[in-house]
Amino acid sequence: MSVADSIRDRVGSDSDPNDGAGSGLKLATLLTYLFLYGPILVVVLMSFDAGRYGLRWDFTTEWYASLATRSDLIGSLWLSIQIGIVVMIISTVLAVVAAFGLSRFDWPKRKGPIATYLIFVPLTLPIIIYGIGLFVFFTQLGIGRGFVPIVVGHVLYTLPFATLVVGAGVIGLDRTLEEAAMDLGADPLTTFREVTLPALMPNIVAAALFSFTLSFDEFLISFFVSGSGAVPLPVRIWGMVRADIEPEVYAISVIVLLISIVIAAMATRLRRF
Amino acid sequence: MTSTLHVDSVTKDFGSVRAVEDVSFTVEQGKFVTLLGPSGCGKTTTLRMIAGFETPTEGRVRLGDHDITTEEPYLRPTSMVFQNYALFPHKTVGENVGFGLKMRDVPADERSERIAKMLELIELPGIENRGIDELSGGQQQRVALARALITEPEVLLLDEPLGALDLKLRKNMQVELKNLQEELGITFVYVTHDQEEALTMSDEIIILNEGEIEQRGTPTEIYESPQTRFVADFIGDTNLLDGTYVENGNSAAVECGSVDVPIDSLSAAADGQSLSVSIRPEKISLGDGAGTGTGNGNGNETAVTLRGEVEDVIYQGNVAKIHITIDGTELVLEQQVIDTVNLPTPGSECTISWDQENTNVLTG
Repeated sequence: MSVADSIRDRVGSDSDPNDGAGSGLKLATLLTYLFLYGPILVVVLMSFDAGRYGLRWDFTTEWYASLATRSDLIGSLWLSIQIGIVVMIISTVLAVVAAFGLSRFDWPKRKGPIATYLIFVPLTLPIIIYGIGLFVFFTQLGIGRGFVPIVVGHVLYTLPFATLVVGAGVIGLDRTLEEAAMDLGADPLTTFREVTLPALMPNIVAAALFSFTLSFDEFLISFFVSGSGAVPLPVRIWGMVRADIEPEVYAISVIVLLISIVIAAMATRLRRF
Repeated sequence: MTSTLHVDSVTKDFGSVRAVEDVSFTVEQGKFVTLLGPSGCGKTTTLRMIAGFETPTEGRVRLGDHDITTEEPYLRPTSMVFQNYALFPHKTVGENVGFGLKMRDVPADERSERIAKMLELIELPGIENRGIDELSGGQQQRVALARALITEPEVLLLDEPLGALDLKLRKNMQVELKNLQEELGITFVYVTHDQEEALTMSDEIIILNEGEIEQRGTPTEIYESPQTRFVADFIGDTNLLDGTYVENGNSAAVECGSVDVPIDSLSAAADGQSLSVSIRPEKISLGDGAGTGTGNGNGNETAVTLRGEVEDVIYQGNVAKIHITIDGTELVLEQQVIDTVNLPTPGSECTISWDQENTNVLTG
């Protein structure tokens, strides 16, 4: 009897691999997902809980209603959205330029991989270093804390991600499409506008959405460079939860969660890499 | 206006690799010329230099009196059909076909008129609004052709355009392409590694090997009179025999091991020089071993007759390949199968013969 036969014999008695899994595996799977989403579930449940300290859970939408009166939270949410949009635009434009520079520029010997590496290395660096560096840098400049330092910090943070997403598209781009356009009379600029950009659009939009969500949720850099006049939502929430958690914090957290989920879902749908 | 395409002593280096070496040829207006060779022979690089995607390291490319060696691809009156078609995936069929006209600022109504006409020419009328991914491979191929032709280029460059199609479709398209080319009178420069495709369509074939031209000629010249060992081997099946040239008074021969192949005496060859000969399998005919062969024609040519033994018979349907050994030297001949009963049996004695003019002496 050959090895293949004996394997087939053993597997053959149990043709559907899921049959043997049983309820143990199902339970483990369920617990894993509960573990992953448990903390989020707690926040969502708390945002609809009427009794603040009680052991009973009573449904209410009261905290969502009173959120409207909390100008500090709403103001920070609005600021975070504004920062997110500005960061998204700058980061995406730079990412397109960087992606083309890295893959298309005729780099001198071995300089190309080094340049690529240096763009992506920040992905692995501790973000707190950025926070400290930016704080010192803008203080020395006399600019201090506020909107501009936050935007600059966020762009530094989101750019490697955005470049990665756009770069995957540039590398996967069929060069003959651009050649075909040129062959038919399109100059380089027209070729870029008519052929290259439309072909890359899914990656560019995905990079923009990622940049927005990353900036929207960012805490560490914001913490170092935000000031009294400009406090993004994550920093605002952190400031509020130290002593006693106000129920509106749960409500706004759920709103932030929804915004992030919607954007992430859009980005995932567009992904082609 | 007639403009002949001139490729003058063109060389192309990629770093330290020489892709094309000193290639020269001219293509008259309205001719169908094929660059044929194995992969890596420089045929695509040559085509890309004519299109303007590569700049020659040395040499010039001219169209009529116009030097286009360094002209940008978007300013040249050439069009290219790409191997993978390179249709714009985010544009409709109509936008793809009309792209070249849009780039030339042709007004929209004239554009749609010419797109419709072009789609009729390729027998796909009315598909302007379809997406590229809704088309079959054969339809995409035609749309790519329409897109390249609509700008009325002086030279159409085709880079293995039929390579991705299945055999039957490819054969149909070969005929259609040739008809279209004759109808439009546009110069076609066609790149392929498929020798049958080249023989079917071309007015002239240029055979490239390792970046250099091996031979150029009409399909008949290339097939019937190969000049080099490479060409004889690359085009069709053949019996290649390597030997030495021996001159003996008025007669001459190439001694190939156990077989002497008589040839016309060569003024260019010296006694003892290494030479190869090529004899196509279908030029050789089989006799019964009793004496003379049956000859291959009307009998008044000089026939070469040899005795041997049938080694193997390979039946392939319409033809049979018959392997013959002559004192250890093997020759293959091809016979039309009219009646399977008449196929020889392996091990039997036989004679083979062919007309001496079908012996090709290969000098390179």
